[in-house]
Amino acid sequence: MLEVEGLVKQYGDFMAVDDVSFAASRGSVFGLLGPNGAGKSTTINCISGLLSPTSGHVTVAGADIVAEGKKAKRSLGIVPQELALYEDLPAVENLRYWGKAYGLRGVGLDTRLGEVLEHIGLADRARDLPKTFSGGMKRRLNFGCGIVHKPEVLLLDEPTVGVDPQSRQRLFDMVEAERDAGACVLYTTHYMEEAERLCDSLAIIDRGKLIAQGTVDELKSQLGARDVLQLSGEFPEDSVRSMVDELKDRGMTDLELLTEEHDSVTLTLSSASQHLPAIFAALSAGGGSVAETSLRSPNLETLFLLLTGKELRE
Amino acid sequence: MRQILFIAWNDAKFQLRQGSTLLWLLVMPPIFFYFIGTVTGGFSTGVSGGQATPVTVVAESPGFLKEQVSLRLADNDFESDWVTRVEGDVEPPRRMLKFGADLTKKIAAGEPVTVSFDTNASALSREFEIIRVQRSIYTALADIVAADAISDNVLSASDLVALNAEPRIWQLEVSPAGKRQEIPTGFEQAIPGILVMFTLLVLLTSGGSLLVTERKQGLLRRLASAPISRRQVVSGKWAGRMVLAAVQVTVALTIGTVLFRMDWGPDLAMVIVILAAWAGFCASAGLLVGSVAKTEAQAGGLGVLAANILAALGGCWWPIEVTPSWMQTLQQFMPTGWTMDALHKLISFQAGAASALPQLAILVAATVAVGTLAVKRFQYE
Amino acid sequence: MKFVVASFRKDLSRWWQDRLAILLWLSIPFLIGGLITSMVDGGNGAMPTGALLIHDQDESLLSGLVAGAYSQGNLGELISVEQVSLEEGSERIENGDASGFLIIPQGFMAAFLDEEPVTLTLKTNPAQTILPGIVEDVTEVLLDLGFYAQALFGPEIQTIMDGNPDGLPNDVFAADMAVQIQGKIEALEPLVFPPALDLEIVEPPPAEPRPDIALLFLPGIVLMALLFAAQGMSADYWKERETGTLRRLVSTPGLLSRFVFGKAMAAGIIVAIIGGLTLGAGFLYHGVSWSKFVPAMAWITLSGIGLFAWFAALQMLFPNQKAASLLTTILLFPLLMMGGSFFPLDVLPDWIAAVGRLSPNGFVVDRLTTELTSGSDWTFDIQSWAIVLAMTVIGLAVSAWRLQTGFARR
Repeated sequence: MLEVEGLVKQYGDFMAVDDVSFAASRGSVFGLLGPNGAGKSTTINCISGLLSPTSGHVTVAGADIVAEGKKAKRSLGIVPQELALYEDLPAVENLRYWGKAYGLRGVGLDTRLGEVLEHIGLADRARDLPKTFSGGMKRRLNFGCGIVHKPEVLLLDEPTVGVDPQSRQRLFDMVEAERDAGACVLYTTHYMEEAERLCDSLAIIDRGKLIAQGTVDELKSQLGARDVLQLSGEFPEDSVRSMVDELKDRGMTDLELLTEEHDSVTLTLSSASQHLPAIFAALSAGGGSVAETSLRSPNLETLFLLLTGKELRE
Repeated sequence: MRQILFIAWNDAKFQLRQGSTLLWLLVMPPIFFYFIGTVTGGFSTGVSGGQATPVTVVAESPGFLKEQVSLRLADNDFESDWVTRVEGDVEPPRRMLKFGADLTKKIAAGEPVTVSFDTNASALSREFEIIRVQRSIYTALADIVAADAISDNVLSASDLVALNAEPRIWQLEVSPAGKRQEIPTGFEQAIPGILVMFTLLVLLTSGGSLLVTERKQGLLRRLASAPISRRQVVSGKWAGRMVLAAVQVTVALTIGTVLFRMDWGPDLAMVIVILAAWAGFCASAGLLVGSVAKTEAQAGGLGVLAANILAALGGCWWPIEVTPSWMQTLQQFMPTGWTMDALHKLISFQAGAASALPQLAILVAATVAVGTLAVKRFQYE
Repeated sequence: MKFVVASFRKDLSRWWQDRLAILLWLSIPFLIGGLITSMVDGGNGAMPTGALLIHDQDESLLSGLVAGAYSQGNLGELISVEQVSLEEGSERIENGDASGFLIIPQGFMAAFLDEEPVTLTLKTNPAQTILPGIVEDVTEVLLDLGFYAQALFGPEIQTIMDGNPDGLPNDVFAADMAVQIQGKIEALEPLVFPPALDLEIVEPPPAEPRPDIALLFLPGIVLMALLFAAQGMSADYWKERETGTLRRLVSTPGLLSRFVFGKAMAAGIIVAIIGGLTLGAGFLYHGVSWSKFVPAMAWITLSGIGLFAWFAALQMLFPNQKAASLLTTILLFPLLMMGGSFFPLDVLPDWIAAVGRLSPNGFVVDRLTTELTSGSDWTFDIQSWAIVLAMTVIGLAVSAWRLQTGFARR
């Protein structure tokens, strides 16, 4: 339903999107996970036709977004990161306008408007102006404007930024409903937990490049069953490396040093909690001291850390 | 005091960085001065001290009476251009005095000659032109009658020359009131008016909008939680607007003086005091608009409307005399009217600094009154 | 086409929400138009009047005649005369409370009768231009009359003043004087009755009444309202960009050109309302033939859409809304001034009027003035309509192009 092939978007020497390829099928949610500035929005903007790719192809429901733009856009719905609403037009009129922009008319449009209003929980506020809405309500209306025409492909660009937990939960339900109705949903986020909850498959993007792709379980398995242990304190130079080597010799064969700074260390190993005393003792023997400890189970965030050496949310 | 100055300085600095403020501060005044001054200067053409009014005189073979008629037209500030006919396919002249053919011959033969006068002017200007033309023609007639009466023979050119040489022993000595020697031209009437209007306009719009923006963005609320009293905040806000008004007045004064050679009279210091009082009033008014308006658009709209109304009714746009009597009466109740009145006394009449004291007192009182209202309406959110 | 209608309805609904803005665009021309009309309206003879203060130190028959002369005929409607003391007159003219202060010196009549020099003093109000000039001219005329009376009847006047120098019986003396004076009058008769020069003031012929000057202001005032509205509405493109709706629009199959056209149609409705109310009030007040109303409405509505289109295109050329607003304001006021919105084109200096007639609004004002002030029906000048239509279409095309080439994508 959605195919992205060798997508490149270049601004001068800067590669905002560098040879990104993926495919998403009908009735699924494909996630694009990455930190701020990774290239998620640029990718979405190329897919939606807002930006022209430097090279590569984007096919939406079988139509090329550049060569057959109008045809492709008929199947496309977008829920942008920034709200895109007419604050001085009643909620139902906002939906009506965007419905007409996608070619809906007459009774069909009226029926669909009622459905959407119910779906997004704004049926009782249909005639009210969005400027009187809360932030969460505006987000829901923003979502409604993206789905009013029942798109086959739905693009959501970080739709829950700045949204309260209740509205966020509601948005998740709406996304799942769209998927269940057969839409292909492309969902970008930098929240790992959203990706884990919603996405059937996802890609991790950093600095314009895809660095990992697959289902959530596939990606997690790349980590193995290893925990991520983060230690803060004081660690003399080279003492950590020698500590790791010593511990490996003692039997912790899957111990791996991810990052090393004079005041923080990140290690990955399985069943880390059982090995904490030995690790602390070895660090202490090497002249180091630990002030804080953080232990995380394997998840996408730790996978990102493993792959890039940095946090997903820095 | 330091807090007040701090707020005032920051407000003024912010507003002076706005392009729209600078536009009305620097760009619009010379444009308006030039345009209004040029156009209204043309309205006073032909009045004593001004340029002669051109008039086309149509006469075929007028004879020696042409000189006498020209003389009398010139006495009444007309510049006559004699032609024998006006072509039908050409646009007719704005002013035309038409004699029948053979003017001198007919009069000498005792035949009356009809003269017609046609002008494009209207209203007061038209009346004035008619009076001047009437005087020209009937004086010329009186010349003919008198010359004929004292001549022994048939009226001749030399009889008229002799009559013209007779001394006019009954004189009228005309001088403008006050100490001014020259009647002010269009610029010298327009510049003070536009200056007064622009100061009000800038303070009501820019000065008002800023307060609304600060309130909407939560900046006033943050200021409320700072260790600065409400009195200090409002005083600072007023002072900031006063700085803006002072800059506006200074710039307009400078442009008027340097570019348009405006003569502000011998009491420049008092002119500045009056304008300072006006600036104070505008600062209070700007603060009030900012306190009352809910959005920037409202502040801008209210400001533009109020500035235009007060300017029009206060005598900023047009000379006093062309307004109906009800407007002249109403002007006396307008802050703009008080300011223009004071400026007229100081600049046009050069009546001395003391003559503007009553207007100064009223302006100061109005500043305090409007300022007090603004303080009452001032809200942090 | 349906998306054009959707866009039109959307924008009309939104702009109608902000009725305060529409009221503002209406109120300024109504205010200015109302003030100007009440000021210059000559239709009911409501001329401005001035006060002439007179201090008569002579208090003679002659000085009384002079003082009374200003109250006669048309002059009496322009000037109100007050007899004042020297102190009061001096103070009031110094304060600018009168148009002029005339002092008739003691011995005025005696000087006239004795043919002695005498000087009247007139102090004028320097803040006024026309009324003091009128007073000055009338006073000069009165002094002229004295000169001519002396020139014609000097010996007779002198004889009367000498009081029967030959010692004739009074009735004989009186009869003798009357005969002399009568003889002179009869000698003057051919030149005076009827007057050798008879001045006629040409009034506008009834078939083509001279346009009321207040009517000449009307087209400029209507265009002032349209220009303010066009500038205000054109900023809506920036608002749509800020709210993200332009970006969303780009990802829809709806054509940007239809979006632009729909917005222009909505602008046309607002322009028609504003122009219609202003024009209608003007038609009612000035008694313009209502047969011209519909073509006038069509003219200003099309022109208003064109002005909106070009302001919109200009707005979208700038990198941000502040710069756009600033530059369009810089453009707006010179256009208003030169295009006949502050003063009619006919009273502007020739070079300004010539340039003004070439400006978009000046072109429209000129045509509208010609049609409203002519005595005949509205004449459809195809060329003018074609120019305005072409400029409107071009303006809309530039707006659509600008949206397409980047403005909508940011």
